[in-house]
Amino acid sequence: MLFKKKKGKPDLRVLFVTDVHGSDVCFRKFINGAKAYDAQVLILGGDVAGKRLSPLVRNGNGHFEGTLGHNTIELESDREIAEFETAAADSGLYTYRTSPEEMQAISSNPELLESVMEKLAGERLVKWLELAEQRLAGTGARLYVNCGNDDPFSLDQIIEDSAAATFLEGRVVPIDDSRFVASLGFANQTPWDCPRDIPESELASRMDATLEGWSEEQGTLIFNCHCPPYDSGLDTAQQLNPDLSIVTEGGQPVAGPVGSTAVREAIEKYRPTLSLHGHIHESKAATRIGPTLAINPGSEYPEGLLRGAVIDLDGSGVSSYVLTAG
Amino acid sequence: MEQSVASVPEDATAPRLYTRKSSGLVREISATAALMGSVCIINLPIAAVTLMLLPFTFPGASMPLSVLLSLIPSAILGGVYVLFGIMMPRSGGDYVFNGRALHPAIGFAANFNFVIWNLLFAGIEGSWISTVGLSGLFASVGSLTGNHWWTTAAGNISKQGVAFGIGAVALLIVAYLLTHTARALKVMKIAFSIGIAGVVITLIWTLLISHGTFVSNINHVSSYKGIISSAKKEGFVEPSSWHSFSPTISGVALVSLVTLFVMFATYTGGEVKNVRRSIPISIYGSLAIGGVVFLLMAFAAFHSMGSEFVASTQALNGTAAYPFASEPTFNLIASLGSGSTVFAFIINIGFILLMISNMIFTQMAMNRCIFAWSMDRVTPDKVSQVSSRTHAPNWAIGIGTAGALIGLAVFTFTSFSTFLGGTTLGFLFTFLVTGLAAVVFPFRRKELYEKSPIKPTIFGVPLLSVLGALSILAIGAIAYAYFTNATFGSNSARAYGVFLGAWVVGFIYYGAVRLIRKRQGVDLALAATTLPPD
Repeated sequence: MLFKKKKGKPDLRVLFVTDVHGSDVCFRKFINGAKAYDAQVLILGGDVAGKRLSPLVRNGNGHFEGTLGHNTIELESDREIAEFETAAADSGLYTYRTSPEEMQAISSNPELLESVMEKLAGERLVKWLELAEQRLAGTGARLYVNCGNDDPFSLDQIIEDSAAATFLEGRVVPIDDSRFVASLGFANQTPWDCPRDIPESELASRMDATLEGWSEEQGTLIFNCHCPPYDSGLDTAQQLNPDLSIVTEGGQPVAGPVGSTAVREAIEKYRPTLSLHGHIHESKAATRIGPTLAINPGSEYPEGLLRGAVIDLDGSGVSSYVLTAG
Repeated sequence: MEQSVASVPEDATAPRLYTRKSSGLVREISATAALMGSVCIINLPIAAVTLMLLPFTFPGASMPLSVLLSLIPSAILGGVYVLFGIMMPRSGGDYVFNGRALHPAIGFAANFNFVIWNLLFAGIEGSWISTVGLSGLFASVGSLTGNHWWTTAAGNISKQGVAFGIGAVALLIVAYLLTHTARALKVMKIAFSIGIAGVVITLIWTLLISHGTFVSNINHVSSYKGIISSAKKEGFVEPSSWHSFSPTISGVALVSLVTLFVMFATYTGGEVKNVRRSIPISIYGSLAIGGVVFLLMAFAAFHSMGSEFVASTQALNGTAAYPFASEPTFNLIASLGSGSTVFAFIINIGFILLMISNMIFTQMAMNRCIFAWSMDRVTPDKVSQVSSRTHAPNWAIGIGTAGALIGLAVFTFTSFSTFLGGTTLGFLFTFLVTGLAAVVFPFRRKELYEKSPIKPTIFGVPLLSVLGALSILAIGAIAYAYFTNATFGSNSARAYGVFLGAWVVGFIYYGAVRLIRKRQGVDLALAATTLPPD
């Protein structure tokens, strides 16, 4: 409520972002958010991999050609190539210098395309984690990263092996002496059959497995589930026809809940203090489910805008929160 | 989820964007659907009022030319919203643009001003259902059939209490419809489709009949020449020409409101469409359709009715010599001139349905603005809650409806705000701020501008800045016309106070909320803190 009194003095500030989808500039902003927002804990909630590849194809002139936005550009100098690659990376695209022959092979082989993109996603994540290690050194800020339903499984080990971040998937991880984050990057089945799309029953099992042995006496519980709870306002997306066209009425897209019933049931069952979500970029929202504050900060990664949630925690739970666009 | 941006050229070795299998890749929304999504905002009910005021307010004005020229500021402003909408494809329209380009407080105050005037306008439309729509229907049927029951009913239904009651019921019905978005959109689509069909059929008929036939039909219910001569006795002076430059230009301000709001597409659901395609189609398609229908209305008024006759009906309105039982709006005069009760029903019901579809669209857009404020924690958190049953933002709908009911009461029972001086000029100030935001955005928020999917330039200058500057000139000229012409009722100390007051309240509210939130430990300044990437 607007006029609700301030709660206890906060002793921990969390910056939560999600669905950066390969955007270099969003990740750099995220890391810098530790200082800008004075946050001690940084959580990246999943979908770190980009979705698109813009190959740079060498043409007959010995130059490279690449596609950015709706334009195909001929790049004549190293500087032009570097600028193109930076702009693409900031928008979440992967670039890949290649020949017309390899291009032909990629075009005709979806598995080859997938493997190229997976390799590039891994390389970018490694670069990000190295950057985080440099920038967060000496700040006291701690980085926690999970994958989302769009992310290839090969990214898990990269995060696991990193000294800069703690991998969160499928476990209860302490973020300070009294607060614990339980995470699940999987999502309920989408029409796109993404790497971590699973049935609701399996989601429920994974959630229970993650929280096996958990008791309230241990401390404050926080959920970090990539998929938002069903029918929470955090999961409102356009309805789709079987051919993946958007259902419209009067020219307006018809929206409805697409979140997970298993995630909702888990929130109702375990009653965490805070529940962090992503997945549905356009459904930026915060709501209460019982005692739980559930947040989806949304995502605007294509525009290089980092959406996030700055959450202050005190002894009794969530002291305050702000949804940010930095 | 997001949309697919994949393109598939014929040549497999050519550079292209590849998209891996990932969530959110959907097919583009069709051009027809995109257009339907915003065409309902074309405000022909306003046209029915303002067009008929034009030759009386500005004697000598050419109705078709004023209407044609009024499309220019709409096209320029539409261009600003098209580019902003593509660069920042999120619901909320200028609340988002101005907040990011200028300052969150300015973004809120400008949007608050826009919402306040829109809620007032929603109330006005509620009133028009009686005073323009139903009254026009009853008056024309009464005159055409000679049945006094209809004529008496036309007078009764325009009375303050009745108009308020019917308007309030209409607003509550709209609110009920909005609690289920799909249902509201379906009703809006049906109402608009039938309404626009009725208006176009009548327009074609009105354009096809000769001026002589129109005069003859008017003579069956009154006296065409008698109305003109009575107006002259009341002091109306016929101009030497109905194609004079100066009144035609001045008249642009009067009729501009009809198509100025085609930018509403950016308020609703921008994030779920292929904005590069759907926003230009929505805004310019609506402008083209609205412009053509409005021009047809102007030609019909000019060609069949005659400017002198139209001006004379306005001159007599409110006097004992006025022969009809309802205000001299386009729907009334066209109905009488058609000589047919069938056409009277078609055109008047058409306009009533257009009012209803417009009310739904307007309220839906305003609700989304109020909802967006709440998501930024500028209003109580409750406002951003959606119904678990219908998924509609019921609190936002309730606030919007309460505001519209207040607008209806103010418009019906007080002279506090006239339609012309109030709503039009009130809106313009938000547009002026958006123009300023467009001018500075490429330079002030360079890091966001550089990430934009399109950055068109003219002679090296960002097109957004150029259109922003042009929109300031165009909208500024309209504002100047309002401030310097007593006819509009805007050049008074009270009017200045109201216009300024909406902004002052917006700024004070935002400042107060920031302080309250800070006491709660919520620092709203964080919400818009720009994060350095390096």
